[in-house]
Amino acid sequence: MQRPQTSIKRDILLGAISLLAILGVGLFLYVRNFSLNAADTAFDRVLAASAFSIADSIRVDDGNLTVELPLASLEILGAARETRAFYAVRAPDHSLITGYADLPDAAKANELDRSPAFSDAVYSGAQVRIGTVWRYIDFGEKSGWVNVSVAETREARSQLASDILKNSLAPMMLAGLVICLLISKGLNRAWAPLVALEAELTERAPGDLTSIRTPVPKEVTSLVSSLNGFMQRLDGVLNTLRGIAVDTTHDMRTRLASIRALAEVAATEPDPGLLRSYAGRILANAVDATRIVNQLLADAAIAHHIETSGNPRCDFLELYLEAVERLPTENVQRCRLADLSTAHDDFPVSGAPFALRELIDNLLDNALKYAPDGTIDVDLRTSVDGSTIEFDVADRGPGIPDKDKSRVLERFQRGSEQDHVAGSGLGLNIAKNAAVSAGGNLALLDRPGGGLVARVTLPRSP
Amino acid sequence: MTPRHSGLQARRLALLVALGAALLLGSLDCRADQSKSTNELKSFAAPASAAASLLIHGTADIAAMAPVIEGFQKEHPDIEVQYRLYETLPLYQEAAGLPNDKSAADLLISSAMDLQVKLANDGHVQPAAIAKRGLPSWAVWRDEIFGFTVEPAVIVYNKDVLDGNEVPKSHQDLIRLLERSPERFRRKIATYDIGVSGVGYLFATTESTLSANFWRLAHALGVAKAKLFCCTQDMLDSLGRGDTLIAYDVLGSYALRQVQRHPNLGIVLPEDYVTVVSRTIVIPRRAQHPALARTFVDYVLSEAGQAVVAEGFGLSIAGVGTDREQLKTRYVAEKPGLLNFPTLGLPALAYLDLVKREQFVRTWRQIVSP
Repeated sequence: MQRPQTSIKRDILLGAISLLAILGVGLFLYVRNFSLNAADTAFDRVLAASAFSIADSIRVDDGNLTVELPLASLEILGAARETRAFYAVRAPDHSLITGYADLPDAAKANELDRSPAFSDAVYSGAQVRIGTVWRYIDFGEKSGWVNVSVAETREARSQLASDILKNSLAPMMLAGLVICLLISKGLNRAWAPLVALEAELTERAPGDLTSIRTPVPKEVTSLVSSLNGFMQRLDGVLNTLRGIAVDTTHDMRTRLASIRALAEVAATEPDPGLLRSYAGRILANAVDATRIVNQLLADAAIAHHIETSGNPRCDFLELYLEAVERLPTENVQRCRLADLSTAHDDFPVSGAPFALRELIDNLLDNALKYAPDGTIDVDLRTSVDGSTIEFDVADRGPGIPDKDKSRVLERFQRGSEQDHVAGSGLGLNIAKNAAVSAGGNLALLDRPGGGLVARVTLPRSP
Repeated sequence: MTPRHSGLQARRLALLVALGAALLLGSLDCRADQSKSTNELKSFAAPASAAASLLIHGTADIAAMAPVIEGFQKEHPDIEVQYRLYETLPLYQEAAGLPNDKSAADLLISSAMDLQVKLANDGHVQPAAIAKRGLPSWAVWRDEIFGFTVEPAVIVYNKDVLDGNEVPKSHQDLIRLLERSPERFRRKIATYDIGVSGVGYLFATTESTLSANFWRLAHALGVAKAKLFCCTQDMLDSLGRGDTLIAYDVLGSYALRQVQRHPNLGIVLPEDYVTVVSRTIVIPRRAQHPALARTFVDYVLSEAGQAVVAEGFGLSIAGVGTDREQLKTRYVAEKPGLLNFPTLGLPALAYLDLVKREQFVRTWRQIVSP
């Protein structure tokens, strides 16, 4: 089963919405609690005021407690139009002086506490809030605390609480909505440059590797410059390839034309001596053509081998000697191996034998080709600490200017002054790749007295 | 508890019980309207075949209520209406759950706004959940009490005895008239016994909070040995017979009807202040047909209902909270004074506190009928 494709926009939006929802529920509970408390605090004061006004009108009449219920006590509560109210005034012995006999009241906490007490109860079929105050009345032996309880239904409190709740939550909900909208719009805005980029790339002709023209914000600039850089390199490679293809084809055509012309002449040549010389020249041309084709093939093959084979241990000297044996006879004479009398008489390395073979072949071939007249000095050493093996191929050719040394190591790059020599531009690149794949490196150095030294450094295998 | 204190307590208790009994049974010196004290029941048969029956307990005379009930039956012909006549206090006491053998009413109609408020406050009524139809805010409370009439407390006098100059145009005038010649009006003034009449008590308490001259007037009434009545109609009857010359604090709706029958009577809408009550209607919690009751309330406050109410009670409530032009026109008054409404809300409970009520009534009686 395929996993559904993820969407950053949907994830962020869903995340934000669920976060806001959780936040909203939390805020709702908090504000609701707060609004209920606030409403109770506000209305409790009114309730207490009403009770106090009744307490103030308690009198002793003819030795008896009596109270003339002040109009204000009920007018205060009646300001909230829908409220119902109940009251009870009780003597110190808890007998009713006036009011609703069955109205619950609060017990006095202690003698010192004179602040009003509030409690909730159900009375007359409704939730009520009861406020109780005490007043000490001194009238002889029955002196004591007179208790005044006033109760009111919760309509006005609920109304105030719900007003507070509504008025606090409305802006919060609006803010949440705006946040969601902003996130949604912001994501679209953030995505816009990529969409524009995509559109431009989609509309492009396949061969168009020019820089991207769509203006982009700075956050995407590095992506665009990498893309542009990549396309530039690709363009360069393509151009080189095109040049190589033209060169190589040209070389091949020249060789094939020579072979054909020589073969035509040879076909009618009666003189066996001349015929043999024609055959030799045909052979030389064929060898050149073969070498060009081989190098192209080798490049592909070496890459394949490096990827697929392991790195077995082999002796570099043996590989060199085998390589020399493969050379044409006249070239064997030109390769001069230096004295190998060093501390170590074996040169073990780890690498793909095929790749190492190509390394040696190409270095020799290169030296023989660019310095056609002189001898090639080859040296094989073990470093003083015994950790690496150095393999030098030195010629007396024209050498390579410093500015070109690194460039010629790249694929399809040839020395700028070597245009007259046939070559694919692959040789040094193949050698370098082989050296790198064996854990070493290839360096090009100027040879004292003129010429080039190609130095391969490989780790010595234990 | 000391013997002295328990004795006092017992005395107080006895007093309260006596008061309650007096309130329940009606006053002794009241020439009682027999129909009210016997709770006369009037049935209004359904014009069509009766599908349901609505029981109304009310303090309004049958003469005033009949057009309203018949108007209701015009719109709902399949409903039988039974109307039982009450005095204000017994109506309240029965609804507040005092033991009784009568079936619970579907509607209570009373001119004692304060007692209706107490019924609502103490949880004896249920919300009506109807459209308020632009009732003035003073005439509705908690969606439970609805005022549907406007009835001022007026002064009614005998035109044959009082000439134009003497007619008391205000409370102030009445005080001066009584103080100038107490002998002339001895036993010739009629007013409510506020210990017996709920609406009389409401008038008195409302006026006492507004007017500094309230107790001075009470004193003048006492000096003139005013006759005390339980009910408006009794005062008007006494006036009609010529037993009394001036009736003070008479419900305007009754007065209007009385002057039609007795052209020698005149009405004064006082020019200093006019106490105005509104007859209120509530649906008791124990109502047996609450839905039907709602329909009736709805009708009474409807345009058609208010037109009939205006006919039966002198004035409907529609439109009178904002100006007193209707009042002026209806009672042919030159310049009625400040309108003084009892609050339909919590403050109405203050004077219903038993101790406060007892003190107020006792003080008033000591002054008015020593």
